[in-house]
Order: sequence, then C-alpha cells, then structure tokens
Amino acid sequence: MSTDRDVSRIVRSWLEEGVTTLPDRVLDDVLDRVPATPQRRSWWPARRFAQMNTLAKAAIAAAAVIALAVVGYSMLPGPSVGGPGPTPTPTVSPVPSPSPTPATLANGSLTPGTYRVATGQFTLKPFVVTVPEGWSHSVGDGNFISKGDPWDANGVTFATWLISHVYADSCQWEGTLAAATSAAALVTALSTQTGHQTSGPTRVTLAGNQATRLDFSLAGDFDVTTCDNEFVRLWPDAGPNENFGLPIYPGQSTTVYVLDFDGSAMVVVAIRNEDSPATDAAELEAIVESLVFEP
Amino acid sequence: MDIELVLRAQRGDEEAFASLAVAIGARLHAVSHRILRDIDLAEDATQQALLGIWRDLPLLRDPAKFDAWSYRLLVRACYAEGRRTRAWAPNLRLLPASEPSTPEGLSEVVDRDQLERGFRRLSIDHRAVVVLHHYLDLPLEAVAETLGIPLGTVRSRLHYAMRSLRAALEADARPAAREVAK
Repeated sequence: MSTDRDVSRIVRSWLEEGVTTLPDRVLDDVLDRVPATPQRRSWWPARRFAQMNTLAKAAIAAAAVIALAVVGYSMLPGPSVGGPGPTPTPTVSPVPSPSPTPATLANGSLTPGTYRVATGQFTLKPFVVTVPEGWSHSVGDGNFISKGDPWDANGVTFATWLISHVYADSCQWEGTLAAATSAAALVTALSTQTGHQTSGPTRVTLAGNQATRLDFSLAGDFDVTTCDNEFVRLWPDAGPNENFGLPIYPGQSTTVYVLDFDGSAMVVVAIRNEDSPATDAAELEAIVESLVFEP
Repeated sequence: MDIELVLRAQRGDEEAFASLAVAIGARLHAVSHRILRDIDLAEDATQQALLGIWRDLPLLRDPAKFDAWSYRLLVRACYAEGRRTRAWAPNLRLLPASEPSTPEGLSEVVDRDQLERGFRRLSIDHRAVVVLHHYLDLPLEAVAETLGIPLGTVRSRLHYAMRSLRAALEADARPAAREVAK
C-alpha cells in the first residue's frame, strides 16, 4: 500500500507529463478574434484616469491634494475646525492639527487633519472633513477617502456624490435608469430600488442639515454573475454618465445620506466591507460626523 | 506578470494583450490540458480563457492579481468545455496485451494509466484543485483565492481527489481492472 506522500509524489510526477506549449495556430486564432471582441466596459467606483500613465496620475494626484490642503488650511479659522459638527467618537484616535502640506501623498495616504472639498462634480457645497491617520484620498477614483482597499473585503470609504439618475434594479440594471434630480425623487428612487437589501429611509441630521438615510447591503455569497455585466450598480455619475458610478459588491454595506440643498440633491456615502475592522468602521463614522458644509 | 502590460491591455491596447497572451498562453494551456486530459478540449478552453481575459480585463480591479484571476477564467473555461462535450465518459486506451507485467504492483507505466483513469473519474472541481496545487504548486490558500471558494472546500476537494487517486492506483493495480477502450 502506498502512503499519502507516495501518492502525492506519483501524482506530481504524472502531472509533469503533458503539453507545455501552446500551438501558434491557437494563439493566432485568439489574436485574430480580439479586434472583433469588445472589452467589457469597466464599472469602477468613480472617476479614474483611464488613459493616463502612472506617473501622470501621481503628478495630478499630488497637485490636487496639495491644492486641497493649502486651500483648506487657508480657510481654517484656527488650529482646528469647529462648527456645528458632532464630536468624533472617543474610540477614534485623536486627530492632530491640520498640516498645510500632506507629506505622505506619494503613497496616497493623507496627513491626519482637516480637508476642504470645493463645490464641483462631487458636492453642491464646499465642505470640510477631518481625517485620522491611515486614510488616503483617491483622486483617480474621485472624491474617495478610504482606509485599506475600498473594494477589498476589509476597506472603508467615505465619498460624496451628485446623482441625476438611479437604476430601478441594481442587479438587472440594464434599461432601468430613471431620472431622480430632486432630493425627494432621489429618496423615492433609492428606497424602491431592488437588487440588494435596503434598510430605511429614516430621517436624520447630518452636519446640521436634515437628511434621509438609507442602508444598502449585499450578502457576501451573492452571485453577481446573475446580474447584468456581473455588477450590482446603484447609480451612474450625473448626466447620466454610465461609464462611472457606484457599485455595491458582495459583503458590502453602503450607507447613503441624501441631502437637500435648495431643492437639489447630493449624497454622502459611507462604505464598509464584511471584514472591515470595527476600529476602521468607527473612524469612518467619525469622518461622517466631522462633516461640515460651508454656507 | 508585467503589470504595465496588464494595465495597457486593460485600456484596450491590443498589442499589449498580444504580448500578454504570448507570455501566459503556454502556461494556461498546460493547466487546461492537465485538467481536461484532452488536447482538443484544452485548446478550446485555452482559447476561450484568453478571449475572456481580453474581454474582462477592464473589470480586473487589482492588476497585481492578474495571474490568479487568469487561472480562474481558465478553470471556468474548462468547466464550460466539460459541460459542452460528452467526452467525459471514460475514453480509455487499452493497455496493450504485450504490456510488461508488473510484479511490483506500481510500475510507472501502469501508474500513469491508472492515474489517468482515476483522474478522469473526478469532477472538474476536483481536478482543478489537484492541478493548481500539485502542478502549479500553489498553496491551498492561493488555490482558494484563485477558484473563489473557501479554504475548507479546497481542503476537502483535495482530500477526496487524492483519496480517489490512491484508490485507483491500488485497485487498478490488479490486471483484471484493465478496461476496454471506448
């Protein structure tokens, strides 16, 4: 009788036998078919520099974050940002005074402190948020402030978004896009959206403003291959620009706050994954609570 | 893998993909052949996997995980080939009557034939685990990540497969076990 080790050795030796080259005709056939085979459209969380090289991305990212930091610092009334925002939870590590020059930009991390985001494609009003240590700002992905890989099983992410359309079904989303420009319409659209689990809507206060909170989640064992293009999509960028938008992946929980600014809507998003550490989730909550909109 | 090549191919650069295909084609084909045990099916699976890699590359979130991701697509292509064909019924070669007898029981020649039969009785799920672990030398954790299944499932599949192969080696060592070619 042979031992397990014998069997493994025999199997390994046996597996070594066999073809080790790919016939040219097979490869040629593949390459001949490539021009007629469209690539699937990427559906990344937000904007990314799809056509730029890494160096260009880094340079732009550096410029953008330095600009944010300098502008933010110049607008600060003192060494720390006050205002009506709630105090961060005591479980979160203390946030140092803001620094005018984030030094850790090269690897994408943010210097702990308070940052300002100007009105633009991500927000209707300028706002500031306070970020603890260990977080990074992904310029390429848009206005994403994350800890860990936001799309891995343990990352956490804060973001803001301007939305004009929402899918009626986030899984079978093709052909279900509907306009939702006002805050009320957006809440209705998100509340009735199918394809994932939804909790809410509930009325809450965020940064001193009335807001509506919804919580979306997708089970960790959800089979996305049953969905159109194998993605679960909540909404596209405003426009709509369906090249980009916000997906929700299996195991993710996404909290959405819908804010109403003079009849126009914007959302604040907090994303956790099933393996996100509790301390990171607490820091994410503290970042949301630190949010202060300028008048 | 050259990450820059992956990134360029993700952006639709066909030349970059061609370089990528040349670099990984043989390895993918070697794996598909060992899983499917049929050269024609393996070629089809490899072709489908390469085209799938091209088509889905923009969806790969972490280019550094290209290797594992490409093996996952390859195994899926092997599943598809397995479903598409009826060739999974045992298609065995008769050992020639002049085959030398093997009084020691497990000669290398007989081992190969017995393993072939035992392996073909396994499902693609089990074969994939065996090949990824024993041919590519991937740790079980990497096999789990590549196939997108829990580590415990990998362990149980590997245990079942190796037990089956061991049984095939031992049982088929008897001359009476030789099968008729179909």
